[in-house]
Amino acid sequence: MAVVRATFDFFEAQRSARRRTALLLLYYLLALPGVAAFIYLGTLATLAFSDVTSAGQGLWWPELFLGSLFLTAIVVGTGTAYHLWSLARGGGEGVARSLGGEPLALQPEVQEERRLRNVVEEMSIAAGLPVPTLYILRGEEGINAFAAGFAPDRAVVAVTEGCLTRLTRDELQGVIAHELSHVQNGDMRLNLRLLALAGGLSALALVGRVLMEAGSSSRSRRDKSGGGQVALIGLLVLAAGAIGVFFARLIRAAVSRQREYLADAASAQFTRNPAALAGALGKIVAGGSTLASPMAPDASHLLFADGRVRSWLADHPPPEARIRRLLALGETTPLPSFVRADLPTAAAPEPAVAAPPHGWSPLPLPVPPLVAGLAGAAPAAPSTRPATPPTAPPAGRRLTAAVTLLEALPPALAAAAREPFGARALCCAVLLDPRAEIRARQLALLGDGPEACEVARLAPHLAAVDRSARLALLDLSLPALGALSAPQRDALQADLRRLAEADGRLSVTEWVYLRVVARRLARLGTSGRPARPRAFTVDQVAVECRELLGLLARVGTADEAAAQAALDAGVAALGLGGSWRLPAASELKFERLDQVLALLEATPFELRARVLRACEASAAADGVLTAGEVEVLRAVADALAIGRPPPLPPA
Amino acid sequence: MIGFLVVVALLVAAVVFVVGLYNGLVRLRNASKNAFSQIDVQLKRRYDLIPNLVETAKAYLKHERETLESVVRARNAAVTATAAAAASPGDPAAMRGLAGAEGALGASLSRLLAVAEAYPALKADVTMTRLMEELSSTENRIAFSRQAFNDAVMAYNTARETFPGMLLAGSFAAAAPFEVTVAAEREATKVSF
Repeated sequence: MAVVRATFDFFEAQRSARRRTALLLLYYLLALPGVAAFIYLGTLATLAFSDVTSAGQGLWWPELFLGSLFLTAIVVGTGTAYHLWSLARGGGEGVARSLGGEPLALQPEVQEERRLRNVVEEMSIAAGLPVPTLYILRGEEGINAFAAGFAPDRAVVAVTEGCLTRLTRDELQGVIAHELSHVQNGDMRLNLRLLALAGGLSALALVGRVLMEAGSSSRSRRDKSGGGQVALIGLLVLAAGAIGVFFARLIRAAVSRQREYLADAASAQFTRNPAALAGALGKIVAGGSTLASPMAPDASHLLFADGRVRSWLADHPPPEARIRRLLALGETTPLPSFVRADLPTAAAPEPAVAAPPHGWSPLPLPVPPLVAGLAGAAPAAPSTRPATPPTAPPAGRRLTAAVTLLEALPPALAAAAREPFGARALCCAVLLDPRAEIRARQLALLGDGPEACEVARLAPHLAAVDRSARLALLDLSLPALGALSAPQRDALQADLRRLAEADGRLSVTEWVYLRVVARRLARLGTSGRPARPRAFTVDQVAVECRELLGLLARVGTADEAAAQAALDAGVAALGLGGSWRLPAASELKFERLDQVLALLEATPFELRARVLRACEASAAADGVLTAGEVEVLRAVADALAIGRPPPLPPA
Repeated sequence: MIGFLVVVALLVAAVVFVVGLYNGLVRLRNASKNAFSQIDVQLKRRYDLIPNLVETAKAYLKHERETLESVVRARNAAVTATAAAAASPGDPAAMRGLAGAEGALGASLSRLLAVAEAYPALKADVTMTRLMEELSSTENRIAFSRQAFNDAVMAYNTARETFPGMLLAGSFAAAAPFEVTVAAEREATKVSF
């Protein structure tokens, strides 16, 4: 096994997830004729034994084969379509509910549940993901967990009760980091498709069972031979269904096993504590991870571990192998280590992950390697391995930074963020202007109801919170906004807009806050499926990209030449030639930028990743990442539905 | 053969339709249950505050034992009613019980506060001030989550009563909103000249 570096390119990880989706489709199409051939042969054999068979037919009977193929395609296709449809409606929450999950309270009273919520919040902020909706599988004593959903901002993470009671905090953190890296690596959509496909292929077994039962019951009533034949065909279809399930297993194993190693390695990178995740896996080996839910076999590839099956059919590598890889990582890492960025490790299975071709490391900010080289502030990154610059801070710092940030928040704010009323007020309070007269006008706009009182109560606490932490605070309060009813959401949106425009203008920061909240609220009622693509190539969105990059360039610096340089860097990263004219500040309109982001959202993932990368390149072009740039990057990543780790504060 | 296929296709479409309808109603019902858990959290928080409030007030209100005891009684009744309502949110009987208990608690609390007006020392007590602040902030939270719950219940009931949801209404019980309609709550809005 090649020694690779546990530094991730999240874009590359997501891209490979998408490649696997294509692979999945191919296997699926191959499985159909396989199942059809089985039905064909079975029917042929049945007919050969009964007297119905028309003499003179050989082994090749095209009508029968086409018929079997047609039947298979109809049943499996309908089954898959139904599962896809119900998943599309229910999203991750539907999956969690069908496995017997119930939502975790925003402010749990039980100590273990509170710990889970804290761990998830820390990890989400470290990973730059919206805090997912949490579900608990009550009554499940095994240690298991899963993440499901169509987009990072509609992700659901569910853990069993066994996870809460039997894992230590560190182990729980490792498991949650594993699940969140599934979210970040784009595995969730892949997994949901696998779920639909497995359901479709097992629909054949269901039809078989129904036919068999119908046949045997009609036999008892009247006409002996007809009913017997129906039962026989039912048995045949049932057997074919079993074959279908077998294929589904095979496909799942082929597609999902490597993703598990990848998520393990990413988890180790997030927490810098591979031993903890290995400990959790060790407890699974000892105590099991089996789920009691009847849905569990179909969903096994979603889960953290699959304690039962250990063969080439398993969709998870055996826990022992995962432990070995993790411990190998631990041995080379003096724990806890926050010193070295690029530890050699055997835990990342895909060399493609190890050497991202784009020179993009997950942590190039605030001093990106290329810029550092240009500025002479640090030695240039070796050209042979641009992915792991010596200046990149280690990933474990992300988690430390997230924990520090959360602990530094005033307790009143943290408490408010975790319940709907407070979260609503917090969203308003971050928009309050520091200038006294405008602030007074803003508070007057809110009226004198309880909401206004709460905003006024939180405002003084917010003064102590710096700009970068405000975005994190907003992130924290987003899950609680899910508890708002539709009229409350509308009222909040209207309030926010009024607050932001109280001084007669909309600043970039206000625009970002409004967007982040509005987007979250708008997507609450949906399953989070991405929009249908409206543009496909970078040329089709060149005009839009110019405005977006122009905004970033203007936000980053007041200097005309530096802004032009930032724009040029972004255009180069986009892969478009030529030099674009920097749009004047007056040309940038927020309504237009909203349209730009809406269009960019409706593009294929490859293009969205390219745009986000270009934005990052543009923001980093002058070697300084301003708070404004961080905010705009966040709004862009949010709109493009790509979860990105936030930049770290300087060490 | 074609006719048979058409019949099968129609049957499948009908089943898919009914399943979708059913799931939609279940989703709305779960949403309302989930919304109740938000109220539940705040109600419990209030029930935890009240004994502290009574304890602090006791030191000053030596001659108002009756008032204090009625607050404690109302609080205990409300705790029981909340537990019953949390077990089956939306159940009309449970919601009525909760609304009644909450109304009684609100009434006895406002009586206590009215009595407290006559004791400046109590009003000046630091713990008392802090508890009052906490209590009123919790009241706001309760009102806010109650609104969310009632909206969710309304969405569920509307889906259940309108076509095509009414086709399945038999297997879905109507949910009751949480409305405290006791005189005490109304009194606050009375205008006096």
